Amino acid sequence: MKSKNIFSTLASRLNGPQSIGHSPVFWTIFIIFIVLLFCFPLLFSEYEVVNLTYFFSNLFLAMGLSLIWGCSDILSFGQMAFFGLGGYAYGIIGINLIGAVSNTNLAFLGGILIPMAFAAILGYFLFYGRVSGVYVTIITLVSTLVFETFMAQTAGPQWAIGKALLGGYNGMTNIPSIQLQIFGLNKIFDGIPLYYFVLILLIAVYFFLRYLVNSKYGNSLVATGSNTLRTEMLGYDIRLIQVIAFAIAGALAGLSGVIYVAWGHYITPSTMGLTTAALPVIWVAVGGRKSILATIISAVVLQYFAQYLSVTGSEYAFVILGALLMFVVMYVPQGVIPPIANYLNKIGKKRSVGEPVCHEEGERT
Amino acid sequence: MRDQNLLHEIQPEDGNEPLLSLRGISKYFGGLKAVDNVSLTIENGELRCLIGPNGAGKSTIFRLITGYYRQDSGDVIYKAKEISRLQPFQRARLGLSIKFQTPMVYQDLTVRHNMWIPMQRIYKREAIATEIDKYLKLLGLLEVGEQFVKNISHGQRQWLEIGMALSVKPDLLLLDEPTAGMSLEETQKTAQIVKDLNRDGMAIIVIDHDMEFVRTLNSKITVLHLGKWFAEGNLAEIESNEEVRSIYLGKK
Repeated sequence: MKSKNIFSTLASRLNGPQSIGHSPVFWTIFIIFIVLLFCFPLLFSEYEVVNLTYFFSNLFLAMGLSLIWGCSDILSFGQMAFFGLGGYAYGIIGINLIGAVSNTNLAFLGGILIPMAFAAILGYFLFYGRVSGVYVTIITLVSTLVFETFMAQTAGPQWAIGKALLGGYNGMTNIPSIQLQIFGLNKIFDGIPLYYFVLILLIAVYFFLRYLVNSKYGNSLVATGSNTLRTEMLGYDIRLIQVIAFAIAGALAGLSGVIYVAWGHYITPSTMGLTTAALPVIWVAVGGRKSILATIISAVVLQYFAQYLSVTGSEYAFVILGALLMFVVMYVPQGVIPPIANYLNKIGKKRSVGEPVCHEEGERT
Repeated sequence: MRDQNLLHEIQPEDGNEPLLSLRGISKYFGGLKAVDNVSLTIENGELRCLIGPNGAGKSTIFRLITGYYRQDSGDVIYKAKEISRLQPFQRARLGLSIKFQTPMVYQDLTVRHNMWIPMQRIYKREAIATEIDKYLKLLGLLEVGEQFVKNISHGQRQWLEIGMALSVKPDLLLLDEPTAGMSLEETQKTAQIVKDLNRDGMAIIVIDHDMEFVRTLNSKITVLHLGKWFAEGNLAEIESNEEVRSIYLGKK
């Protein structure tokens, strides 16, 4: 590293072979985009803002899937189960406590930590049991469907936890908005404030993941995904590495669930059905699973696209998305966005001098 | 010759502990005895060649040492410690390193990134880049450093994996056919590197079919046949051994 100041050190920790885009041009566009997103509520109607908040709520889950699938080759259909778990946990804790403490601090934390713990436990059995490849996919898919089936039969008053009725297929209703009490401030996040809350969280999580994948841990995670045997023989505990990633992805899926239920104030088991479980996989695969940024872009675009299709009366939204997935898997397996990014990188290629040499090659896709 | 096997097993413990000692290890796959009651002792800083026809159990022995397989009977003692219950990664952290028979490298990463993975475990982040340069220079891979591994030649992949196995500074290095697919010149260079490393004190076990390479290394040789310990001795002894010649030529 040439200059030793904190800023450049920080920047170098965010860059690396696992991230596309680290040129000044990239960061300029990035910042312009962020500014535009902050101005979004000033330029568009509240309906559009609320709509975009919904799309954003799913991005945490998508980023988590990109982490485990893109970096470490763990294809999980279980993310929607963790999403549902987070949503239900937030709902149950929130409904019970909101009257007493008039905040949802505990519900918010519970909605993240409970799915994280479940992911860690499931991951423990999967990875310490040395399950890999397609079997992980099958087991996680089954977990999602089991959870959906279980929640679907929770109709009736006997299925209540405190004041919270689980509600079977009709779902759980009257879930409170996110209301956080920090440093004496008590703020309800609804409508436009919820949009800003989610946007800031989104940026924070993006930077956290970008730091993570380019860290020592991130490199060992990528190595594990690329060749487990080699990585293990180099002295890495691949079981632990995978469980940690799986738990982080579970926590992010839970966060998505929390925001979703706080946004819509209800949740039903159908959020964990077969079709919805497949959606995140499509977003991540189409965008480019090895890049978190590509995943974000593709998740937002595809959600807009699917909504546009259903609003215009087409019943074939899922069919078209499915066809898109097949097309991408067959013709651009690395996703649509990384080849574009590579092309842009080649045009505006500017090598940074003095960075860790391994990390110069930023366009690993 | 066969009687030496018995001598091995009853060898008394002296104060000078060997680095690695396999005591009567066996590994079965169904009815097949891949490794059958083999004993082997490697001293600190020793260079040893392991030879034998296909199916002799050489690679299986490596897998038993690294923990990929667990033996059905016998003990694996490394640094005076019975390591049979340790996971492969725990054994690696005790200073065991292996280069596999077919190159086991990260196909979708660059050469430098490949080297980064083992090195980040023992070096500080700031020091890794220069250390990688040293190894790539030694192995002649400096020009292809930025290439993705899937785009380099088979020989270069062999070098890369040797480099990765080396970069963790092991106490015992296992090389499974390091010269497979290498030209004569590359083979000679590999022999030189192996000898240099051994002179600096690294214990190395080499499996190779290339007798010319084994001859260059000029070390103690252990011959395996059909999973069993068959013969042991220096180059001259092994080459003059009629039984060894007959198993290589397929005679009874």
